[in-house]
Amino acid sequence: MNPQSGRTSDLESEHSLSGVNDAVLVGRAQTHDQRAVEELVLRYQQKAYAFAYHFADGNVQDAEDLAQEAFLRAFQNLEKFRGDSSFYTWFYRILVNVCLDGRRRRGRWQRIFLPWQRESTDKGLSPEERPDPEAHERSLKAISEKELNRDIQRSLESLPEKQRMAFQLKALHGMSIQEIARVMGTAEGTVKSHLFRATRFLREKFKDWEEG
Amino acid sequence: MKPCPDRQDTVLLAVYEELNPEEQQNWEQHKAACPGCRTEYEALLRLVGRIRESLPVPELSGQKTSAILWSVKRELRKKREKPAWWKEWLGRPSRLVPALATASVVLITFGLFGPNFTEKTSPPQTVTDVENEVVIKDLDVLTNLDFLEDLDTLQELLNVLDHNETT
Repeated sequence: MNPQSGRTSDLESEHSLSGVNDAVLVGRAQTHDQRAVEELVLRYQQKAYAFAYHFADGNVQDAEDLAQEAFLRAFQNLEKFRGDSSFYTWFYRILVNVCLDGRRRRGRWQRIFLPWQRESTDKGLSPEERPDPEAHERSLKAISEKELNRDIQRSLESLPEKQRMAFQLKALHGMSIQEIARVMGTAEGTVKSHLFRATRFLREKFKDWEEG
Repeated sequence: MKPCPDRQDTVLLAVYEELNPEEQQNWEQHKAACPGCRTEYEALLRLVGRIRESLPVPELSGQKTSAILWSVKRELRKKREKPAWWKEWLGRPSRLVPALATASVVLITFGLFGPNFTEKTSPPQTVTDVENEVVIKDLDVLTNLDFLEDLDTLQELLNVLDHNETT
Protein backbone atom coordinates (compact mmCIF):
# COMPACT_ATOMS: atom_id res chain seq x y z
CA MET A 1 0.00 0.00 0.00
CA ASN A 2 1.36 3.38 -0.84
CA PRO A 3 0.05 6.30 1.17
CA GLN A 4 1.20 8.65 -1.55
CA SER A 5 -1.45 7.24 -3.85
CA GLY A 6 -4.01 8.27 -1.27
CA ARG A 7 -2.97 11.88 -1.59
CA THR A 8 -3.17 11.97 -5.33
CA SER A 9 -6.19 9.88 -5.97
CA ASP A 10 -9.52 11.52 -6.36
CA LEU A 11 -12.03 10.37 -3.83
CA GLU A 12 -15.27 8.97 -4.99
CA SER A 13 -17.26 10.98 -2.59
CA GLU A 14 -16.50 13.85 -0.28
CA HIS A 15 -19.54 13.15 1.85
CA SER A 16 -19.20 9.45 2.58
CA LEU A 17 -15.82 7.92 3.34
CA SER A 18 -17.15 4.57 4.45
CA GLY A 19 -16.40 2.96 1.11
CA VAL A 20 -12.93 4.46 0.80
CA ASN A 21 -10.04 2.08 1.40
CA ASP A 22 -7.55 2.49 4.23
CA ALA A 23 -4.68 3.54 1.99
CA VAL A 24 -6.59 6.54 0.70
CA LEU A 25 -7.81 7.47 4.16
CA VAL A 26 -4.31 7.23 5.62
CA GLY A 27 -2.99 9.45 2.83
CA ARG A 28 -5.62 12.04 3.63
CA ALA A 29 -5.09 11.73 7.37
CA GLN A 30 -1.38 12.38 6.82
CA THR A 31 -2.35 15.73 5.36
CA HIS A 32 -4.42 16.45 8.49
CA ASP A 33 -7.79 15.69 6.95
CA GLN A 34 -10.03 15.48 10.00
CA ARG A 35 -12.73 13.50 8.24
CA ALA A 36 -10.26 10.83 7.20
CA VAL A 37 -8.99 10.60 10.78
CA GLU A 38 -12.56 10.31 11.96
CA GLU A 39 -13.37 7.55 9.49
CA LEU A 40 -10.28 5.52 10.46
CA VAL A 41 -11.11 5.85 14.14
CA LEU A 42 -14.70 4.78 13.55
CA ARG A 43 -13.59 1.90 11.36
CA TYR A 44 -11.24 0.36 13.95
CA GLN A 45 -12.64 1.62 17.20
CA GLN A 46 -14.74 -1.39 18.08
CA LYS A 47 -11.99 -3.86 17.13
CA ALA A 48 -9.43 -1.94 19.16
CA TYR A 49 -11.81 -1.77 22.08
CA ALA A 50 -12.55 -5.50 21.86
CA PHE A 51 -8.86 -6.40 21.88
CA ALA A 52 -8.13 -4.02 24.76
CA TYR A 53 -11.18 -5.35 26.63
CA HIS A 54 -9.89 -8.90 26.45
CA PHE A 55 -6.41 -7.81 27.36
CA ALA A 56 -7.60 -5.68 30.27
CA ASP A 57 -9.38 -8.73 31.72
CA GLY A 58 -12.80 -7.30 31.02
CA ASN A 59 -12.23 -3.91 32.61
CA VAL A 60 -14.35 -1.50 30.55
CA GLN A 61 -12.65 1.70 31.69
CA ASP A 62 -9.15 0.33 31.10
CA ALA A 63 -10.21 -0.96 27.69
CA GLU A 64 -11.52 2.46 26.66
CA ASP A 65 -8.36 4.16 27.88
CA LEU A 66 -6.13 1.67 26.06
CA ALA A 67 -8.05 1.98 22.80
CA GLN A 68 -7.94 5.76 23.01
CA GLU A 69 -4.21 5.77 23.74
CA ALA A 70 -3.56 3.46 20.80
CA PHE A 71 -5.40 5.81 18.43
CA LEU A 72 -3.53 8.79 19.80
CA ARG A 73 -0.16 7.11 19.34
CA ALA A 74 -1.10 5.95 15.86
CA PHE A 75 -2.22 9.34 14.61
CA GLN A 76 0.60 11.20 16.32
CA ASN A 77 3.03 8.96 14.44
CA LEU A 78 1.09 8.67 11.23
CA GLU A 79 3.78 10.50 9.25
CA LYS A 80 6.13 7.60 10.08
CA PHE A 81 3.77 5.10 8.45
CA ARG A 82 5.33 4.22 5.11
CA GLY A 83 2.78 1.68 3.94
CA ASP A 84 5.05 -1.38 4.21
CA SER A 85 2.12 -3.17 5.80
CA SER A 86 -1.58 -2.44 5.93
CA PHE A 87 -2.78 0.30 8.25
CA TYR A 88 -4.77 -2.36 10.08
CA THR A 89 -1.63 -4.40 10.91
CA TRP A 90 0.39 -1.29 11.77
CA PHE A 91 -2.33 -0.01 14.05
CA TYR A 92 -2.73 -3.39 15.76
CA ARG A 93 0.96 -3.44 16.48
CA ILE A 94 0.63 -0.10 18.24
CA LEU A 95 -2.44 -1.37 20.07
CA VAL A 96 -0.62 -4.49 21.24
CA ASN A 97 2.27 -2.39 22.54
CA VAL A 98 -0.11 -0.02 24.32
CA CYS A 99 -1.88 -2.97 25.93
CA LEU A 100 1.39 -4.55 27.01
CA ASP A 101 2.63 -1.23 28.43
CA GLY A 102 -0.65 -0.80 30.26
CA ARG A 103 -0.47 -4.30 31.65
CA ARG A 104 3.10 -3.79 32.86
CA ARG A 105 2.16 -0.46 34.43
CA ARG A 106 -0.73 -2.10 36.23
CA GLY A 107 1.56 -4.93 37.28
CA ARG A 108 4.13 -2.52 38.71
CA TRP A 109 1.45 -0.60 40.53
CA GLN A 110 0.03 -3.77 42.02
CA ARG A 111 3.46 -5.06 43.01
CA ILE A 112 4.21 -1.83 44.84
CA PHE A 113 0.88 -1.04 46.46
CA LEU A 114 -1.15 -4.20 46.45
CA PRO A 115 1.14 -7.10 47.26
CA TRP A 116 -1.69 -9.06 48.82
CA GLN A 117 -3.57 -8.98 45.51
CA ARG A 118 -0.55 -10.28 43.67
CA GLU A 119 -0.36 -13.24 45.98
CA SER A 120 -3.92 -14.13 45.23
CA THR A 121 -3.66 -13.76 41.44
CA ASP A 122 -0.11 -14.60 40.40
CA LYS A 123 0.52 -17.69 42.49
CA GLY A 124 4.20 -17.27 41.75
CA LEU A 125 3.93 -17.76 37.99
CA SER A 126 6.73 -16.24 35.98
CA PRO A 127 5.40 -14.55 32.84
CA GLU A 128 7.14 -16.74 30.27
CA GLU A 129 6.67 -20.03 32.02
CA ARG A 130 4.16 -22.40 30.64
CA PRO A 131 1.48 -22.76 33.25
CA ASP A 132 0.97 -26.14 34.69
CA PRO A 133 -2.53 -27.41 33.89
CA GLU A 134 -2.42 -29.58 36.98
CA ALA A 135 -2.18 -26.52 39.19
CA HIS A 136 -5.50 -25.21 37.89
CA GLU A 137 -7.18 -28.52 37.51
CA ARG A 138 -10.55 -29.03 39.08
CA SER A 139 -13.65 -30.80 38.17
CA LEU A 140 -15.67 -28.78 35.68
CA LYS A 141 -18.51 -31.22 35.54
CA ALA A 142 -20.38 -29.65 38.40
CA ILE A 143 -19.88 -26.00 37.72
CA SER A 144 -22.39 -23.78 36.05
CA GLU A 145 -22.01 -21.98 32.76
CA LYS A 146 -21.25 -18.75 34.56
CA GLU A 147 -18.51 -20.37 36.54
CA LEU A 148 -17.16 -21.91 33.38
CA ASN A 149 -16.98 -18.48 31.76
CA ARG A 150 -15.11 -17.14 34.73
CA ASP A 151 -12.78 -20.12 34.63
CA ILE A 152 -12.07 -19.55 30.96
CA GLN A 153 -11.30 -15.91 31.67
CA ARG A 154 -8.98 -16.85 34.52
CA SER A 155 -7.24 -19.47 32.41
CA LEU A 156 -6.59 -16.94 29.69
CA GLU A 157 -5.26 -14.50 32.26
CA SER A 158 -2.89 -17.15 33.56
CA LEU A 159 -1.34 -17.70 30.12
CA PRO A 160 2.07 -16.18 29.50
CA GLU A 161 1.80 -12.82 27.77
CA LYS A 162 2.83 -13.87 24.27
CA GLN A 163 0.81 -17.07 24.26
CA ARG A 164 -2.20 -15.14 25.37
CA MET A 165 -1.64 -12.47 22.74
CA ALA A 166 -1.29 -15.02 19.94
CA PHE A 167 -4.36 -16.93 21.11
CA GLN A 168 -6.52 -13.81 21.45
CA LEU A 169 -5.54 -12.45 18.06
CA LYS A 170 -6.23 -15.78 16.40
CA ALA A 171 -9.20 -17.25 18.24
CA LEU A 172 -11.02 -14.10 19.27
CA HIS A 173 -10.08 -11.62 16.55
CA GLY A 174 -9.71 -13.96 13.60
CA MET A 175 -6.31 -12.76 12.43
CA SER A 176 -4.14 -14.98 10.28
CA ILE A 177 -0.86 -16.29 11.65
CA GLN A 178 0.96 -14.13 9.12
CA GLU A 179 -0.82 -11.00 10.36
CA ILE A 180 -0.19 -11.92 14.00
CA ALA A 181 3.50 -12.34 13.24
CA ARG A 182 3.57 -8.81 11.80
CA VAL A 183 1.63 -7.39 14.71
CA MET A 184 3.81 -9.08 17.29
CA GLY A 185 6.99 -8.39 15.34
CA THR A 186 8.06 -12.01 15.38
CA ALA A 187 8.43 -15.03 13.06
CA GLU A 188 5.42 -17.05 11.97
CA GLY A 189 6.96 -20.17 13.50
CA THR A 190 7.17 -18.43 16.86
CA VAL A 191 3.53 -17.38 16.61
CA LYS A 192 2.54 -20.95 15.84
CA SER A 193 4.52 -22.15 18.83
CA HIS A 194 2.78 -19.65 21.16
CA LEU A 195 -0.61 -20.43 19.69
CA PHE A 196 -0.20 -24.20 19.93
CA ARG A 197 1.05 -24.06 23.51
CA ALA A 198 -1.84 -21.84 24.56
CA THR A 199 -4.39 -24.08 22.83
CA ARG A 200 -2.93 -27.26 24.29
CA PHE A 201 -2.92 -25.73 27.75
CA LEU A 202 -6.57 -24.74 27.42
CA ARG A 203 -7.43 -28.14 25.94
CA GLU A 204 -5.85 -29.86 28.92
CA LYS A 205 -7.46 -27.46 31.35
CA PHE A 206 -10.96 -27.98 29.98
CA LYS A 207 -10.71 -31.66 29.22
CA ASP A 208 -13.23 -32.44 31.92
CA TRP A 209 -15.72 -29.98 30.49
CA GLU A 210 -15.30 -31.48 27.02
CA GLU A 211 -15.68 -35.02 28.29
CA GLY A 212 -18.52 -34.11 30.62
CA MET B 1 -8.86 -42.59 21.19
CA LYS B 2 -5.82 -40.40 20.78
CA PRO B 3 -4.82 -38.38 17.74
CA CYS B 4 -1.78 -39.37 15.71
CA PRO B 5 1.33 -37.88 17.37
CA ASP B 6 2.72 -36.67 14.04
CA ARG B 7 -0.56 -34.91 13.16
CA GLN B 8 -1.01 -32.79 16.28
CA ASP B 9 0.15 -29.55 14.67
CA THR B 10 -1.92 -30.27 11.58
CA VAL B 11 -5.03 -30.70 13.73
CA LEU B 12 -4.42 -27.28 15.31
CA LEU B 13 -3.73 -25.64 11.98
CA ALA B 14 -6.93 -27.16 10.63
CA VAL B 15 -8.91 -25.80 13.60
CA TYR B 16 -7.50 -22.32 12.92
CA GLU B 17 -8.01 -22.69 9.15
CA GLU B 18 -4.36 -22.15 8.42
CA LEU B 19 -3.72 -25.09 6.10
CA ASN B 20 -2.94 -24.39 2.48
CA PRO B 21 -5.20 -26.08 -0.12
CA GLU B 22 -2.91 -29.07 -0.58
CA GLU B 23 -2.48 -29.60 3.16
CA GLN B 24 -6.20 -29.17 3.59
CA GLN B 25 -6.90 -31.90 1.07
CA ASN B 26 -4.46 -34.28 2.75
CA TRP B 27 -5.98 -33.47 6.11
CA GLU B 28 -9.51 -34.12 4.93
CA GLN B 29 -8.44 -37.55 3.67
CA HIS B 30 -6.67 -38.34 6.92
CA LYS B 31 -9.54 -37.07 9.04
CA ALA B 32 -11.97 -39.31 7.22
CA ALA B 33 -9.79 -42.33 7.93
CA CYS B 34 -8.58 -41.54 11.48
CA PRO B 35 -11.19 -41.37 14.27
CA GLY B 36 -8.59 -40.21 16.85
CA CYS B 37 -7.59 -37.13 14.85
CA ARG B 38 -11.22 -36.45 13.94
CA THR B 39 -12.33 -36.56 17.57
CA GLU B 40 -9.50 -34.26 18.64
CA TYR B 41 -10.27 -31.82 15.82
CA GLU B 42 -13.95 -31.66 16.76
CA ALA B 43 -13.14 -31.26 20.45
CA LEU B 44 -10.79 -28.40 19.73
CA LEU B 45 -13.34 -26.70 17.49
CA ARG B 46 -15.91 -26.89 20.29
CA LEU B 47 -13.43 -25.59 22.83
CA VAL B 48 -12.39 -22.56 20.77
CA GLY B 49 -16.04 -21.85 19.99
CA ARG B 50 -16.90 -22.08 23.69
CA ILE B 51 -14.08 -19.72 24.60
CA ARG B 52 -15.31 -17.21 22.01
CA GLU B 53 -18.81 -17.43 23.46
CA SER B 54 -17.61 -16.97 26.99
CA LEU B 55 -15.79 -13.74 26.23
CA PRO B 56 -18.32 -11.44 24.64
CA VAL B 57 -17.25 -7.86 24.12
CA PRO B 58 -19.74 -5.12 24.96
CA GLU B 59 -20.46 -2.75 22.11
CA LEU B 60 -19.05 0.72 22.48
CA SER B 61 -21.88 3.13 23.05
CA GLY B 62 -22.29 6.16 20.82
CA GLN B 63 -21.27 8.35 23.72
CA LYS B 64 -18.00 6.46 24.24
CA THR B 65 -17.33 6.46 20.53
CA SER B 66 -17.73 10.23 20.43
CA ALA B 67 -15.57 10.65 23.51
CA ILE B 68 -12.68 8.68 22.01
CA LEU B 69 -13.00 10.46 18.69
CA TRP B 70 -13.15 13.86 20.33
CA SER B 71 -10.05 13.25 22.46
CA VAL B 72 -8.08 11.94 19.46
CA LYS B 73 -9.01 14.99 17.40
CA ARG B 74 -8.24 17.36 20.26
CA GLU B 75 -4.76 15.87 20.79
CA LEU B 76 -4.02 15.99 17.08
CA ARG B 77 -5.13 19.62 16.91
CA LYS B 78 -2.92 20.44 19.89
CA LYS B 79 0.02 18.72 18.26
CA ARG B 80 -0.53 20.53 14.97
CA GLU B 81 -0.88 23.92 16.62
CA LYS B 82 2.17 23.46 18.80
CA PRO B 83 5.23 24.82 16.96
CA ALA B 84 8.58 23.04 16.92
CA TRP B 85 10.60 23.61 20.10
CA TRP B 86 13.25 25.70 18.37
CA LYS B 87 10.61 27.89 16.77
CA GLU B 88 9.07 28.35 20.15
CA TRP B 89 12.40 29.48 21.58
CA LEU B 90 13.18 31.81 18.72
CA GLY B 91 9.66 33.17 18.67
CA ARG B 92 9.93 34.26 22.27
CA PRO B 93 13.46 35.49 23.07
CA SER B 94 12.39 36.36 26.61
CA ARG B 95 12.40 32.61 27.28
CA LEU B 96 16.15 32.63 26.74
CA VAL B 97 16.78 35.13 29.58
CA PRO B 98 16.82 32.60 32.46
CA ALA B 99 19.03 30.23 30.50
CA LEU B 100 21.47 33.00 29.57
CA ALA B 101 21.53 34.32 33.14
CA THR B 102 22.30 30.85 34.47
CA ALA B 103 25.04 30.35 31.89
CA SER B 104 26.59 33.72 32.84
CA VAL B 105 26.57 32.86 36.54
CA VAL B 106 28.23 29.51 35.81
CA LEU B 107 30.90 31.11 33.64
CA ILE B 108 31.66 33.84 36.20
CA THR B 109 31.80 31.33 39.04
CA PHE B 110 34.19 29.06 37.18
CA GLY B 111 36.21 32.03 36.04
CA LEU B 112 36.72 33.33 39.57
CA PHE B 113 36.88 30.16 41.61
CA GLY B 114 38.06 27.63 39.09
CA PRO B 115 41.18 25.46 39.45
CA ASN B 116 43.53 28.28 38.32
CA PHE B 117 42.05 30.78 40.70
CA THR B 118 45.26 31.19 42.91
CA GLU B 119 47.56 31.58 39.94
CA LYS B 120 45.32 34.11 38.31
CA THR B 121 44.98 36.21 41.50
CA SER B 122 48.78 36.44 42.26
CA PRO B 123 50.24 39.99 41.71
CA PRO B 124 51.41 40.74 38.22
CA GLN B 125 55.15 40.62 37.56
CA THR B 126 56.31 44.21 37.03
CA VAL B 127 60.05 43.84 37.87
CA THR B 128 62.55 43.99 35.08
CA ASP B 129 65.30 41.45 34.34
CA VAL B 130 67.98 43.70 35.94
CA GLU B 131 65.98 44.02 39.11
CA ASN B 132 65.59 40.27 39.09
CA GLU B 133 69.37 39.83 38.92
CA VAL B 134 69.91 42.21 41.86
CA VAL B 135 67.32 40.39 43.87
CA ILE B 136 69.01 37.06 43.05
CA LYS B 137 72.46 38.45 44.00
CA ASP B 138 71.16 39.80 47.33
CA LEU B 139 69.50 36.52 47.90
CA ASP B 140 72.92 34.77 47.57
CA VAL B 141 74.43 37.08 50.20
CA LEU B 142 71.55 36.54 52.54
CA THR B 143 71.58 32.76 52.23
CA ASN B 144 75.38 32.64 52.80
CA LEU B 145 75.45 35.20 55.61
CA ASP B 146 76.62 32.73 58.26
CA PHE B 147 79.45 31.57 56.04
CA LEU B 148 80.54 35.18 55.39
CA GLU B 149 80.55 35.90 59.13
CA ASP B 150 82.85 32.90 59.58
CA LEU B 151 85.12 34.27 56.86
CA ASP B 152 85.38 37.59 58.73
CA THR B 153 86.39 35.75 61.88
CA LEU B 154 89.06 33.83 60.01
CA GLN B 155 90.33 37.03 58.45
CA GLU B 156 90.69 38.62 61.89
CA LEU B 157 92.49 35.54 63.15
CA LEU B 158 94.91 35.70 60.25
CA ASN B 159 95.54 39.37 60.97
CA VAL B 160 96.39 38.56 64.58
CA LEU B 161 98.80 35.81 63.51
CA ASP B 162 100.49 38.05 60.96
CA HIS B 163 100.88 40.73 63.56
CA ASN B 164 102.53 38.29 66.00
CA GLU B 165 104.93 37.07 63.36
CA THR B 166 106.08 40.57 62.53
CA THR B 167 106.66 41.40 66.16
